Amino acid sequence: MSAVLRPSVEDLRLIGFYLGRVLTGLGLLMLVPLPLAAVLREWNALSALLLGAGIALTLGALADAHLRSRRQLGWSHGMVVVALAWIVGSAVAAVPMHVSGRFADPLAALFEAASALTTTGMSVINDLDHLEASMNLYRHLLQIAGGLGILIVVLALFSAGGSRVSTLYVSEARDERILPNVLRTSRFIARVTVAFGVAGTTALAVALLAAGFGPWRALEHAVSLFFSSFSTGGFSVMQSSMIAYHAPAVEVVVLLIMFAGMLSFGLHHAVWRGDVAEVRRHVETRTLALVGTSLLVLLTVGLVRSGTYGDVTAILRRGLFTLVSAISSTGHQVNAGDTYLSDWGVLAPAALVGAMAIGGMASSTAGGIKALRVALAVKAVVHDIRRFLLPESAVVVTTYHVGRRRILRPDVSRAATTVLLLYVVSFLLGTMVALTYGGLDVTQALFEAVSVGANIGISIGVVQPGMPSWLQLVYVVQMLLGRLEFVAVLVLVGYLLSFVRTPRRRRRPS
Amino acid sequence: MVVGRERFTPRADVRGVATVVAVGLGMLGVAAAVVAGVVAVLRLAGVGA
Repeated sequence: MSAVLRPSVEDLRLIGFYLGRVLTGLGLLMLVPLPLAAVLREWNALSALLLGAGIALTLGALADAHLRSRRQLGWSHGMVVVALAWIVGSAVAAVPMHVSGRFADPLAALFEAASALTTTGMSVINDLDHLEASMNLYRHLLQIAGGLGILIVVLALFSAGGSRVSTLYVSEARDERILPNVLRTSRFIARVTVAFGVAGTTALAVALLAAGFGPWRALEHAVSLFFSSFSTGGFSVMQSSMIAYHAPAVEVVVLLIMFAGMLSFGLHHAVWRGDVAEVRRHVETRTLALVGTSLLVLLTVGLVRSGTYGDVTAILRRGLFTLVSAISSTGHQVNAGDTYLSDWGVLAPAALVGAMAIGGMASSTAGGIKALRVALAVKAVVHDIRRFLLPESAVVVTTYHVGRRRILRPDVSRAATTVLLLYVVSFLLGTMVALTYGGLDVTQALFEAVSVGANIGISIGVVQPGMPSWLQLVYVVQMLLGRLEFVAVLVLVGYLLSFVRTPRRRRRPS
Repeated sequence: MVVGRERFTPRADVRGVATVVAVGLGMLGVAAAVVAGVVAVLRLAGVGA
């Protein structure tokens, strides 16, 4: 019960040690774009990345040398490491961005780094269209690292393996049991990512070549678009996001990559095993199909009533693409941000906000509340209503299908409902803060708060270079809470409070 | 998700990607049909005409 008792020095050493490993991984990630920077003679980006890597690797080496502990990693340690990894990781990842001089101030660089690592995809960078290719690659690498779970990537590669890693993995907002072997799971995730990476990048490059891009630019944009789409992050290479391409083929490929990214890796595993029927049986597929279709109908009705788009093709290219971008939590935009509230009427933006709030599947790179939690919460409500309606002696059993048929236990439905409620609270708090201090109206504030809090990244134009600093800070907190799905951050807060509120732990007799 | 001791081959990778792409295309097809259907019904009702 180390989260309740005041943490000992050994607890802190253990947390510091694993945090150091995360920073080492981050430092190595910063080295990846260096050859590109050298070849393209992007000396500014090269020096910024070198400095960032030097800081991250030094901190990692110091932690490795001085903070080794024989203590086993417990649940509370794992949670604290995860929460700190994203917070400290965002700060360290922001160093090259700030040094590059592309951001107004350090807070803007922190916003960009947190946006990347949480796969939100909102950007406050100045003059994105002329950003160095190596710095752009770095932004997109951060997204895929965040999307796949920076901890699992780093620790799966570095750790000796076993239960310590699995504790971290389960903490990182993946609530299914990953055992028996988290390293095998990590390798499978890497395998799926590489398979989609090869297929997706090739398809994108071909589509971009067909759209008139030169070979080098087609490759650069294809790699970036794959990273940002599969990680469901949504960063773009150009300020105008997907609008810049004007290419239906590119949009279709991106749609398919976003779809693959929002699927749970459990479902990918079933497909890889040849169990395609699992796609039909899985509770999240059914939920997303039902909710997605309902939202699509609402969106279409809204767009037709508003008269913004004249034909089916335009509604598909502008409306359907945006809906998939929202529900997959990617945030690629094919419309100018301000059009959602000015030209889309009332129903269509409401459908978009609903899609953003729900998000993709659990155990995927997607953000949002997650289809699994929505399904379980609804099933829990139906379960309670059935209990009221049936005789007292009746035994009511509710089941759901994830890999196999499972009985809905009270603790599972309670956990799902609690996190769902925390998301709603986050959306409302973000809305109220923006309403109070930001000069936005209710719809603007709600739209942006849901987009940030669910790690989506579609913006109506509030998030841009020069936005108020305090709002950036609020959004950074919301992004981190959303990505860590609250629990890890709450454990970290409990850990910090325990320094103040509880007596020092008595030393156990040896 | 419980990953067992399966050893996936490159052929399984191709099959996996192809299946997900096929499912995705199928869902896009259904979505397109839904949009076309809703637009047709609304046009018949005189909405947005």
